[in-house]
Amino acid sequence: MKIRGNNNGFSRGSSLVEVTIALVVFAITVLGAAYYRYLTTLDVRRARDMLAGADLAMTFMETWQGTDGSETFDPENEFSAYMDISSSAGASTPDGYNLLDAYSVDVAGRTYHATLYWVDTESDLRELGTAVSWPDQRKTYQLTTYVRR
Amino acid sequence: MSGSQAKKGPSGFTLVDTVVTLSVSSVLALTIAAFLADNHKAFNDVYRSAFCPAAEEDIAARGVFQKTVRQASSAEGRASVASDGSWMEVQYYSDSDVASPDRSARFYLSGQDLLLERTDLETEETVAVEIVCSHVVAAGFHLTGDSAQMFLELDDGSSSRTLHTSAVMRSP
Repeated sequence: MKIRGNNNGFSRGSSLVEVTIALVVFAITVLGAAYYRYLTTLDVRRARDMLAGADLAMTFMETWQGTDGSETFDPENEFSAYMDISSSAGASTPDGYNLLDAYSVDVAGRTYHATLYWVDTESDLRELGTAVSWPDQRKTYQLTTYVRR
Repeated sequence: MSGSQAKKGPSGFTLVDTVVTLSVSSVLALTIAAFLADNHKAFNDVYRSAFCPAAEEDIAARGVFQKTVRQASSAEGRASVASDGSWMEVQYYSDSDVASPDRSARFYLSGQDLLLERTDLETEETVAVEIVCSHVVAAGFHLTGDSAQMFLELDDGSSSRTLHTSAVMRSP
């Protein structure tokens, strides 16, 4: 039977370089798997933030729609008892639209900025828009609806 | 074979080799352990917040509120809300064939349960009382023009959520 080892009867063992390389390969594998999980977590958080932003835009739009797109609609006055909302700077108003106002809203520890704008597309049809943004979001989330007046 | 060669043993690790290897291994292990622990905690937090009972209650409450309010009449006097926002009542069409609202729906908080009481407007009898969602620690209702809003704070002990939703009532 052939036994791997030196002639003196001892097995050769692993060198320091071999052990270190093995450790590094193991570490890269573990960190790679963990990084994948980290990215998943990050994406879920981003999705949750986006959902909260969309919810906020929906709440603003539905409520504004309920006033037939009134130019005197004031979310701060309507929601201040239930939300941490204040008038502040927000995303810029798209060209050709009239600014209603911009607000800053704290939702679950995150600050969202919402800009409400409108334009009369026909004599009896008004387009309402809300643009919501938050710190980690590069793009602005926009929602549009129409009300017959 | 000479006598000096016969006495020579295998060349194993020196003390310096062992110390260096242990140091490198320790630094690697600690770094990986810290990263994994933080990663695991973040993943668990996100998982818990996405699949906790409060999250399910959130979805259920939105659905019932939206569906009920969108069936409600926006005519004058058909919707009312408490001055402190603790309850809200709307009159709604139970079916698309009925000519006028024939039911009323009242949302209110009982303990930590958000209840919806449906009443027949003609007989004034309670048709059903259903639990919309549980784990509610605060609730508020509001009417703005033809729309109704609901604000809830949910907390199931492990996770909390803030819910706000708004829906436009249908034409009179």
